[in-house]
Amino acid sequence: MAFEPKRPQKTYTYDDVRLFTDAELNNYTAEEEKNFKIKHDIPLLEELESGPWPSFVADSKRYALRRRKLGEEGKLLINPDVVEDLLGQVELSMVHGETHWKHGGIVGVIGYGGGVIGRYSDLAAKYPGVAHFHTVRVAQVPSKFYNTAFLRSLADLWEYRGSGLLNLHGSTGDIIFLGTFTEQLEPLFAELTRVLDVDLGGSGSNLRTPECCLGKARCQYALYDTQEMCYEMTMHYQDTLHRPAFPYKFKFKFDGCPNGCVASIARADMSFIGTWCDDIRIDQDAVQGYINGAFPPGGGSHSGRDWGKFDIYAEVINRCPTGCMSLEYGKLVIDNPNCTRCMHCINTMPRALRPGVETGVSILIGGKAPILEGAQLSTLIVPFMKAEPPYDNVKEFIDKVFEWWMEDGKNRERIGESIQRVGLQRFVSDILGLPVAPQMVKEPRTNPYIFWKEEDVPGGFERDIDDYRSRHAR
Amino acid sequence: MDDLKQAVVEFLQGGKTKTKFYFNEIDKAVKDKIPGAKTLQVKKACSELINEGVLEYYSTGSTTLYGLKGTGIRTEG
Repeated sequence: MAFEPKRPQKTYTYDDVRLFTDAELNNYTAEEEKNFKIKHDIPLLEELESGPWPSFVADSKRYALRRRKLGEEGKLLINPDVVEDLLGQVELSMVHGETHWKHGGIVGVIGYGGGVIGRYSDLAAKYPGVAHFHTVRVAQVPSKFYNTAFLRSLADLWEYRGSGLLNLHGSTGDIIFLGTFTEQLEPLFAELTRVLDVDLGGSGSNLRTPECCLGKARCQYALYDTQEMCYEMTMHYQDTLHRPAFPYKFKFKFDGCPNGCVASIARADMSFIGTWCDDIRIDQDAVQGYINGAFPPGGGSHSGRDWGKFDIYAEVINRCPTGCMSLEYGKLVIDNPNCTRCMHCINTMPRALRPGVETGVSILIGGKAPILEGAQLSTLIVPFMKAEPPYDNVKEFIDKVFEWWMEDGKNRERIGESIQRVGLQRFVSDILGLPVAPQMVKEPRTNPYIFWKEEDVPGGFERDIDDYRSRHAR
Repeated sequence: MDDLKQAVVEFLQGGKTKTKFYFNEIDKAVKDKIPGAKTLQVKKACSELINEGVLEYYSTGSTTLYGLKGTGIRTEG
């Protein structure tokens, strides 16, 4: 089905919305760059320029020159020294071994509880250019397919109303605008939404901006339309994206197949991974083609060196994690119920093997990648679910999870931690009402003792604890 | 909705030492006062109070709290 936007899509060219001319942006000579010194001494930061990699320090200094000249011409709305003062404060933080940022606050745009993260300098008198240095998160387009008009317009707007420094992209996927003053937030938001037709992303106790892989737009492996689903969920859950009421952050990510190009299993609280529920399609002639050397394995991705003749046992069959493949009388045989969807055989022999035709998503919950400690992968909760518009089945499942987590999740506790606290079995069977599967068990139990509840046993049982205690002291 | 909004404001005004609250603290307090209130209704009440300028969000970047507008310590430049 062709993509249908929820509302008319705006189109514009860079010439319609540009704020600076090319000459204004290329406003310094090579000679000026060579002689330019920022207003602070930054010897520690300048050491970073001596390494083998491109340095943000060199980029920032060059950029500070441009802003100084734009500022002298009165073409910027915030302090033109922002980049110079930023470098100065970072240098001082390296000397002191502690940060000089005050983080958090009440800044934001009207009605939104996310998208802006307050940050102030505690040395505002010394570094007035970064007295305010708020971060603004701008929602990325699904799969990050931008046109240059959009990117150049964003860059112009941020040059004009902010520091001009940006980060493409943050961990969640947003475009991160780094550093502006409070009074610029509302006009910036107005221009982002009304002129450039793009929304703010999520922050705080919100649903964060959903993210998806390239999907069917570019990839033969996509097993559902990741962009369509990502867009639908973004629009459907707008309220949770902008008005925070969760115990902590919550992330959706959509991978089209188990290759997982957006690493949803490691980075999302709820991971949607494309899968199939029938059999892997096998072209036996193509299998022979790989064995005979007619086709390079892995689409030729490892053909830069001579790895020797393709060995289907060493490179495919013996690498199957569940051992569900064999070669019988020259034919490749797959025991499909035992396939764990690792994709290795399909990636290695893409002409010969293709996923099944009954496709949908696996839903996994509980992944997180915090900065300090506690990273964990999502756990498979729903092995297979159809993923077709309008995704009512998926939304019903999500609503159930949200309802429980909003009620029972503790503050600053990711859902993966909530599940660990109550137990996976209770979460799956008691809270979600789903059947548990053997594949959810990490390892067989070593203790044969099983605590049965009365309702677990057909016919139940009677137990008088007082009678028991009369014979057995506690 | 008005009774929910009133319950939210009364709870926030009753804070002895705190001025900023997590949503689920508000949710629990409102449900204690108005049995049968639903979490989504409490959220809608909070959102309306935000839009009316009675409440304001406080965000650390990773978590968000609610407070009466203008109360508590304010991080500023």
